[in-house]
Amino acid sequence: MAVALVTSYSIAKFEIRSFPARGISGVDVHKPDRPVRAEMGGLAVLAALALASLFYFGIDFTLDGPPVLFAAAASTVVLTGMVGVADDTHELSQRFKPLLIVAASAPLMLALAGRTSITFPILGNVHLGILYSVVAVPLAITTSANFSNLLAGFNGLEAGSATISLGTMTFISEVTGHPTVAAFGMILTAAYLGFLFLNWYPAKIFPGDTGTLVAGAALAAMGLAAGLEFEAIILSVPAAMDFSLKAIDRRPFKQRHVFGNAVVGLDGILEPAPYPALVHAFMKVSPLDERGLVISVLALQAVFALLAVAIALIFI
Amino acid sequence: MNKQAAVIGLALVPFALASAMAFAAWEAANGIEAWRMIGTTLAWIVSFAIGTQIFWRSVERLASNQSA
Repeated sequence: MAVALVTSYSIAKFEIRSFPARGISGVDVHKPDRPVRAEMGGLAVLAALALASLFYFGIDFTLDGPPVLFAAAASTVVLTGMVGVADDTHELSQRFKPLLIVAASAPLMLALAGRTSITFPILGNVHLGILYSVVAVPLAITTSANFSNLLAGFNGLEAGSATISLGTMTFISEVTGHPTVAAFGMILTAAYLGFLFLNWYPAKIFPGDTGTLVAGAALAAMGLAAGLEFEAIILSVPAAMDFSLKAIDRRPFKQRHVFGNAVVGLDGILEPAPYPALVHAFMKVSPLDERGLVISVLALQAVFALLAVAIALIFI
Repeated sequence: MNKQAAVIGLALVPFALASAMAFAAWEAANGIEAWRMIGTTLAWIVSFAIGTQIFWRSVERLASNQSA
């Protein structure tokens, strides 16, 4: 865990110094002076996952049951991260990107080929047969990755949300008897926490699509690997709400291009853009600066995290 | 801060509604297993979408009360 945290922090520090000079940067549109900051910080999380995984396998190779799920989940997450890198550097088309993430799900599809059912609280076992690995796994990874890519754009929001949701899944995986998945989650939680120190308001670096896609894919991968699909769904609810608000509109998913971003005043207070979105809901009801907004959204994420833990413990 | 807490409370509506409707659909469609799954999934998705619209309308009402 310490390896992941230190690696992520150190590499993000390096990115802050070197990426803007290479043109890997973006404008912080929610600051009055619109500073330029390093982009694609999610690469630090991926590097932390790779290095910390080496340590994990070195220390715990024989103690923890079959490591195939760990390797498959890590492969899927890293491949999804590569899609994010391609998107950050070459702006992939919105039609092509989901197909690449489906392809990135292949390691987890193969590792879970023998599983045929999902367990839901109250409903019990829902038998899906071969559809579990062929349809449910790629659908979950792609949906979750794209959801977390939508609820983004404010300092600390993506990394904070990832830390809460992946930390929660780690805790639930551990208490429900899935130590391999818990180890995988612990590495990623620490990696996002290390990155969060530099991404928190006022951010020195942005996660980019690399960071957001990895967070979503990792959440789904943990849910699938540990058989905690319902808990992963609960943790995805804030992002799913944002998706739903943007989808049911006269201009689905085109609103940002038409209306632009939330506008920031000289006093730092955000004015919501005129279209439905989860972040705009918080801005509409009372004056908020960027830091206050992110704390509110993270509080919402924490409420769903508590709900996921409660349901997991009740139906254990 | 109270208004922010109210938004967080309202955000529970879509999930609660979707879960209740999915459970109702599961209990009602007690025949062919495949149709039961499809019906439950559809009930969850549609109720969740309706729930988010209820959430947004409530937020707009809350915002207009504040500005009034």
